[in-house]
Amino acid sequence: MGNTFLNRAHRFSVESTVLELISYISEAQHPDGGWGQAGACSWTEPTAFAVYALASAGADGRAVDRGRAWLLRMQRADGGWPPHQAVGESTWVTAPVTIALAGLGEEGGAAKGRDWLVRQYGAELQSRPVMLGLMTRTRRVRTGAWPWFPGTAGWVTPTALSLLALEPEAHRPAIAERLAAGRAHLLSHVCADGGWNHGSPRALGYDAPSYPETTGQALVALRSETALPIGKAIEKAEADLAGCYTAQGAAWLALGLAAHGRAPRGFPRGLVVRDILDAAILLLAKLGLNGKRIF
Amino acid sequence: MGMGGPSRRDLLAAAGMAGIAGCGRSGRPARKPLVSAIRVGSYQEDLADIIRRILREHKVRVQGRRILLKPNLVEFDPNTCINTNPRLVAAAIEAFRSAGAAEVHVAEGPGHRRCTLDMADAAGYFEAIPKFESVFTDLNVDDVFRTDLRNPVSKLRTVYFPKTPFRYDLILSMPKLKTHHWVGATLSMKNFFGFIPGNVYGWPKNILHWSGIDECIVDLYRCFPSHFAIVDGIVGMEGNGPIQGTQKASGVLVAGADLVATDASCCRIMRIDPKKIRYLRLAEDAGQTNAANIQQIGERLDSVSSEFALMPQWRWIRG
Repeated sequence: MGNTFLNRAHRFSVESTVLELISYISEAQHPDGGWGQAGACSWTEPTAFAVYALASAGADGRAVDRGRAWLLRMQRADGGWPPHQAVGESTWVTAPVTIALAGLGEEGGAAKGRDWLVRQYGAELQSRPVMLGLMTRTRRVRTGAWPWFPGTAGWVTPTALSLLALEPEAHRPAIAERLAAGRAHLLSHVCADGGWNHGSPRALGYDAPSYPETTGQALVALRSETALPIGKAIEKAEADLAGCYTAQGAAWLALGLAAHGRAPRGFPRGLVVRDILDAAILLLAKLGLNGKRIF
Repeated sequence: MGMGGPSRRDLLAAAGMAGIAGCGRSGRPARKPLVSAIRVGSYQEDLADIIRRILREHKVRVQGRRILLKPNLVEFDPNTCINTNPRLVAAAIEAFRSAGAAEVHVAEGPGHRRCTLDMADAAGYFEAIPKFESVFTDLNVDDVFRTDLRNPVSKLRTVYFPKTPFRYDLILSMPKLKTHHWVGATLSMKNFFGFIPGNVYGWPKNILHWSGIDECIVDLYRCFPSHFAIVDGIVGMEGNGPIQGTQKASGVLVAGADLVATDASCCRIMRIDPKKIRYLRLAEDAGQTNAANIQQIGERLDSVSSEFALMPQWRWIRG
């Protein structure tokens, strides 16, 4: 079962120009207005990033309009978005859609998305001593982070993107409180090497290494922070960019560095664009390096 | 595959599997399950020939069937012992094709890293397997369907699955022989966590942790009843597995159609007591954690076993 879509994507790389990436993304749009990855159906996340990237690039309005319409059709009554039409629940993808719609000036849909996001929390199990310290009792508590899927723990990617989605309404007290808690969560989950991984910097006494994509995402979300870990994270991001294995990772690192005024001159050569998500995030990073404010 | 909506065939496949999910294994033969241990010194040996012999010994029905290989692909670094070795996967493709399979496909949905094809490339899969992209599906971004689990032992009641695994007649679980910091050992049953789509549940697939890791292993195993396992123990991992452990050259492949029995034998090779692995106890339906209930062929397990280092909190599972 060859995948012509993926094979075609492999013709593109970090060396592809902005115009080539725009062309690739536009041509890969599905008849229903959305974008997919490996399968035949449209998915919410690549659609949100494709729409946001094309709109940020000032590309073909028809593709953006059809993508916007697809996103608005997929919004659920609770204000959030499912990751796929077959999924009957709103999830973390509400964050990238909210970012995209806000970027398009589609404030109605974005506001409902923010209302859904502000109600989401990560979950954690907390043990406390009972019976004069002879036993412990475990209870479920909320954290300041955002989960991928409702009812589970908070992780770096959904937290970073939720922070970016909520920022435009930072003046609302409820949102300001969540922004502070989310940033604090990210700052407390830095890996020993200075970057971020999926959100588990240390497990069972072992330090875990960071990943390029999540380090870049956290740096973007913490662009207003000057706390101590940020300097070390920037150094880590600069070091990782040189040896990055993925176009998406390199693009997020570039976006993260640009958010802190340290935009790199370019990308390591030869990294392959594998799918729409890679292409859209790379396009955003290239626009960012050209001086366009992203996020 | 077209770029439009799901095909009628996809929907029929999904609907068909929705009925199967959670049904467990009925009609288990009364014979003891067969498990092979084959001494293999390195990945340079003729692995395809070894796998052909395994298929013959186990009388695996291959002719005309569609086979899905499910390796364990976790990290980028080709120099670690985290991933199922790509040479072994390439050899399995060759062996199944030469045995008359109608199609051999590879699929995986890694649990921590998102850029699966980049990871497969860095881990050596593109180099070892010609036209890798044309035989591979990233299950994290595959189209999905929802199904109810019948009689689950975990807290999961419904689950979204990628459609691709359900289009195949036989799933070959190809895990690495590794210790695991949450469940003691990660083998052919735990390998089915890769069938949970990251695009729905995220990275990591934390829903499985909240629903009970051991219990979810059992539920997922029961959702894919047509399976066979070849465990890559040529070089395994000990200590803080499944990611941060250290290399352990065991020089063995372990194979069987009964995954509980196969995993129990793998535990004995690691000198872990399978009775102390919770998911094996939950899944066994014919006393497979008891060595007397397994027909072991090939090498004697004591001749290929060695002590895999265990984290302090797991020392109690030592067999």
